[in-house]
Amino acid sequence: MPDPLLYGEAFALAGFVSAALTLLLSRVASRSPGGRPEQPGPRRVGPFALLFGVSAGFAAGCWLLRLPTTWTPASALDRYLTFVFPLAVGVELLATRCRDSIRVAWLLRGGLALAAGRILLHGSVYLQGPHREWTSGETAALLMGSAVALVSVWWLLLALGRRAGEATVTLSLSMTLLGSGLAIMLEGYLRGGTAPLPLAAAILGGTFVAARASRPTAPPAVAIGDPLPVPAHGVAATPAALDGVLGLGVVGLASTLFLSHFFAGLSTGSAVALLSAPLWGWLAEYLPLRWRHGAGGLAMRLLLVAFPIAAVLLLAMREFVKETLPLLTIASL
Amino acid sequence: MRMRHLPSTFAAALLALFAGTAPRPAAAADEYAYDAVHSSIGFKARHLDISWIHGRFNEAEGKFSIDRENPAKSTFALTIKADSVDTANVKRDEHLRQPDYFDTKQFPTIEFKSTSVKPIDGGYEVTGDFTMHGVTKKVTLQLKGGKEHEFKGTKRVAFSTELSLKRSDFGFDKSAIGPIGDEALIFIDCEGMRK
Repeated sequence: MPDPLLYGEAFALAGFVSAALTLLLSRVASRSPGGRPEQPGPRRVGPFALLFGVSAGFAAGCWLLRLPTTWTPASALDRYLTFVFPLAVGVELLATRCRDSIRVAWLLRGGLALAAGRILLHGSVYLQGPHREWTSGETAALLMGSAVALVSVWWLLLALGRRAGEATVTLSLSMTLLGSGLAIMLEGYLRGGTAPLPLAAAILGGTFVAARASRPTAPPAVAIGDPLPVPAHGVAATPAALDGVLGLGVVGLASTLFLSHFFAGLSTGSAVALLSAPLWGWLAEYLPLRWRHGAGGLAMRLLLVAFPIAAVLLLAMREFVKETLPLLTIASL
Repeated sequence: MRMRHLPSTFAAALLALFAGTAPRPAAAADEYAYDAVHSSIGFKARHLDISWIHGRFNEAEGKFSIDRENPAKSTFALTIKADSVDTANVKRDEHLRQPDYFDTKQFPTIEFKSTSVKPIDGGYEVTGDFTMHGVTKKVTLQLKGGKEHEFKGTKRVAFSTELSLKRSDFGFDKSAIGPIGDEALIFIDCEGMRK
């Protein structure tokens, strides 16, 4: 049965742990190696602090939701939480380390995108058994197609982040993860729908700390969507610090939609609409310049992203009220 | 004309009679295939702890090998297609196929395979591995019946059994168990056709 209170607690815990740990690690990292006193200048919120903070926040939220359910990951959801997400963290850590070699970073991301689909489908009727549903060719085509879709969305979101500000994109992703969770729950897959909630919260927590860090201590005030300024003192987010968080969000979103589609019957249309929802932020780039800046620009981008999410949720809600609600209230499951 | 054929007909009948009654060499166990048309696998689970919800699995296959002289050598195997769950409500059936319940894309079958058989009054006590939702547990079934009947040249044998199990023992998510009780009763009435 749905437990909104538990979901709220998991959401709050994930957000808090993510923000607190990111801030803590940033402070620790700002100390020079060898225990020397802090150097003058701004403390940096670096990609490592954000990656660890967001991952820990997500893990804390999952722990409260009792996810994964078993430590022998037999279901697709458990394999996502046990293998795919930690792999994504590893890939983003490596990508952060080899920032100078963009090709290596994308090679790693591409490998992850290819492996994720195979890991999620492992042991299922699609790949094995006497009633195997796909041929080897179909499997290869589907895994390749899914990987291309994931990498394309990932690349476009990183590019959007460079233009519009990374925090705008991570906020969009967070919103999409929340919408996806609700849509999956309305589809009837309760456990699968809860998984994106702590990730959304953890990304919000990390983004909040990064956005606070990016805010200059003196006027004029600059909104989230603007390029990250480096203040003379205080705490600052390093350039592209949220790249890794964005990667975790994209992999989390794609994996959840993938497994909900193939194991819980989430429609292809809904899955595609939700995966591409954060890309609607690109539309704002074609608006007049004055609409793209400041809080108004951020609101405009989030509104654009909210549009496909709301459409999917409305359709899912309509279906739920028509088909599932009578089952729960009258005939009852 | 008819009279001329009578001796040969009589001889053939005698031969048939001897063939039927003469002691056969120690035969191997009789093998039977699961007859899906005359078998059923049902289940029921508590709803809100006040009533029972009934359902069935419409597709299954299996085989038994029955050795009347040495029952310990008998074997029983049954494979149920989890996807064929039917509770007389399409939406509920779809829900039951999802990962919160049977997760039929990941665990397409529910299986039983005997590991030991011993005769009891009115049937057999069969111990074996019961696999559901990817979890295997040892269970013991009291198979009642075992009567044989030959119908239109096909020898048939039938057994009935009931099994009580807890879904939480088989890796079903406890939080998804909700208004449906954890315990489920499974009823198997199966008929086998001799191969």
